[in-house]
Amino acid sequence: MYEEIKMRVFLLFTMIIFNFYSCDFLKEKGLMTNVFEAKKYGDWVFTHRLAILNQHYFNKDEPILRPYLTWQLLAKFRVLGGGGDEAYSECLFYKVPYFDKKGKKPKVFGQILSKRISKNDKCSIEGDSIKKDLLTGVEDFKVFFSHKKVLAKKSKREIQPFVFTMSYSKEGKTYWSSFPLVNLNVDGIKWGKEKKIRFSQRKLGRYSSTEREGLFKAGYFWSDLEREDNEDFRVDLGHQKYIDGKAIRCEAWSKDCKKKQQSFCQNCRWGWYEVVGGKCEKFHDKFCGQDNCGIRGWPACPKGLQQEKLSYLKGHCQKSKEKAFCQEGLEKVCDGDGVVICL
Amino acid sequence: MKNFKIKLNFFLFLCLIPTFLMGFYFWFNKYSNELEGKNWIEKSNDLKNLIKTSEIIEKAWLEGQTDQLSKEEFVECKKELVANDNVDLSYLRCNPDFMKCFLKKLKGKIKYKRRGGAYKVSSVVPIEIGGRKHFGQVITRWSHKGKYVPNYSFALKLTSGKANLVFLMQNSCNEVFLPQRNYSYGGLSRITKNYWDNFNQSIFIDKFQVTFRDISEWKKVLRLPFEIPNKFIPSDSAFGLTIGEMKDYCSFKGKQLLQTHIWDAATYIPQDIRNKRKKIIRKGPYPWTKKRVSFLWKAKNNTDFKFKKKYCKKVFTKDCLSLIPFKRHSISSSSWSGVFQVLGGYPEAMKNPFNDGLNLKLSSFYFSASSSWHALGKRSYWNGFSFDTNRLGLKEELKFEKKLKVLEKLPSSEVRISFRCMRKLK
Repeated sequence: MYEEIKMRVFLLFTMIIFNFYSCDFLKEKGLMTNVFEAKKYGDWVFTHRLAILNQHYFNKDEPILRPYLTWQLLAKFRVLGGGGDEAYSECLFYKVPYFDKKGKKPKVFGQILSKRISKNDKCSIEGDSIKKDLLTGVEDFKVFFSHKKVLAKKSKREIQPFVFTMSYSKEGKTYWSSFPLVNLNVDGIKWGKEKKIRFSQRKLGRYSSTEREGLFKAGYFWSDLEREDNEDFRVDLGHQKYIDGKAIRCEAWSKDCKKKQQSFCQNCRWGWYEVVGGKCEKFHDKFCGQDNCGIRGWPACPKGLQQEKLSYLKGHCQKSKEKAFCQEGLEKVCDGDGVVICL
Repeated sequence: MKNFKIKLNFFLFLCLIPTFLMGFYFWFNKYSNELEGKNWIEKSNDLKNLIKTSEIIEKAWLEGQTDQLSKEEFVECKKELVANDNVDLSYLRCNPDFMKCFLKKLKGKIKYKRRGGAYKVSSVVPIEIGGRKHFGQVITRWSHKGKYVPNYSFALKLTSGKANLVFLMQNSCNEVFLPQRNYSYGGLSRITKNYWDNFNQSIFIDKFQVTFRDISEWKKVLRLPFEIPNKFIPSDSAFGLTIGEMKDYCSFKGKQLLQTHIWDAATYIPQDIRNKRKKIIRKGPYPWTKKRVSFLWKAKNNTDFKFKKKYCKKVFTKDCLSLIPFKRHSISSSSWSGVFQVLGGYPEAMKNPFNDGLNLKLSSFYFSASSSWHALGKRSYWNGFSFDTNRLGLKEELKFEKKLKVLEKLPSSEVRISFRCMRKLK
């Protein structure tokens, strides 16, 4: 009898311990540091566009301390998937910890949240997500990213270009997590304050090649060759002559020099060409197809910017004409859209 | 009492079962989470290995050589690509055929060492194309429908442990940027209507003429039959294409057929290289000197001029055919901007937006050094489709000598016209 009770008590005790041990993971909803880091490495590595938001937190080598208990959006990663399509976007948030007036230790710890959303969605802490990865119990969070080397003087560290770096403390231990963004180049970075650094503003000079400014000069990565999507993004499947009026305008500017729609010249199957004239004086429209500038029935060739100064005549069409040239014997004429063509 | 005991036991049993089930559920969750975590860590380590491997592959792609290959293997690859002594090693750079050979020699296994660690191996997986397996595949905007597909790239499929990726390499070796400044078309400096500039424009020009290798790859992607002419090799400048085909090839690569004024800009040396906005642009006729006098001028004007072998490095004229073998993809003479094969060698077709009647650079191995065609800006007319000199209107200028070694390979009345492409970026 006594033996039986002993056995039952032992069994009960074992089960209680087992249950406590099993429930242990409920204590922390977030991931382990190394798992979080490993997940983000894989999730962010194929990023080809990066938007830096709240830029004032970046590259300071100072922990983010204010405003208390608020979610701060730091970056949006647009990630390439298979077959040259964008797969998804990820938004990186940080919840600032709360310290009481005297305490050195936070009363409420910070949290790092990475939220996966559809490629066209906006980052929002409340909005829907495809998945979430959370790291809790964080303090002294710092974030670094640049297309140039960054020196974190206080931390005595050198942050490599195109490597998204986070530093934080958790349970008394300091972590430095580096995420190389292998598909990113200067064109793909959108800064919060500064204007996007355009390709033409890059220091291209004599002997410059088409090598990209990024971690990989000549190459980039897809997760797979196969696509999930079946949409055909190629434009201009045949040869479209300009004179026929069927040429596809892949970049259009309005009279007040604003882009009418997002340029899709990168999708022109046979390349693209720029015309002189059009609605805007500063920027010119672009068309898909082979460039036959200067030839009868095709747009005139651009003479360049400097040539503008030669113009004493007023009127947009006249000015445009002076900025273009045609083959000998042909006349420059502005068409209905103000584009200079050769006739 | 007995009844109470049964009831107690039953009650305990009822309490224990859900507790146990819950415990098991939580334990399983914890175990699967741990397992998933482990998987993620392994996968990220594998990805890190693949990125390291890609660095090695990219280096081989850009340099056209790699320490992964032994000397013997490298020589074998050169043989396979028919890149003998008469082909410059620059031909191997950004060349998919070299990459295929290199990967075939290593059986797709790339060995590398990560900092402080032991040697590791990642694999390049063959891709099945048309029932045959190849190391790598040409990916172009022409053939692939995705939104972010490059105009042209060579893709490799890499695998290591649990991670896979596709590494696409672009041909960044064979294009050069045209510096932004004032230029003028043609040889005469004083006609200001021929002045133009490329400020705020990013123009890239092919450093070399398009080769038969390029054409053969293009036709293969289009599934069109093509064979390199007999006795010619893939590194030879491509000829025998009509101007329409030349334009189509360039379009396939997202480029345009080279325009004459761009070529002039890339080849005439600016007199004052530091002043980008010079109002008057003076020009010399040769790409290697600002002076008007060079050995070519002497050959034309001095009756006692003796042609020397060393001149062939600057311009491969008819005189060179009997002196040295013709070097393909030669980098021995470059223009001020970094384009090669400027004077001599093959005649080159261009698009002339100033004057349609001058679309062929004739300076070539068809003419001896004393010919006046060996100068920048000197151009003739090509109708764009015929190669017979009798139909070209060039009969007077081209006096072919049947004995010339190069011409023995084709009917002597046919002229070999090559070309190159250019493109604007943003």
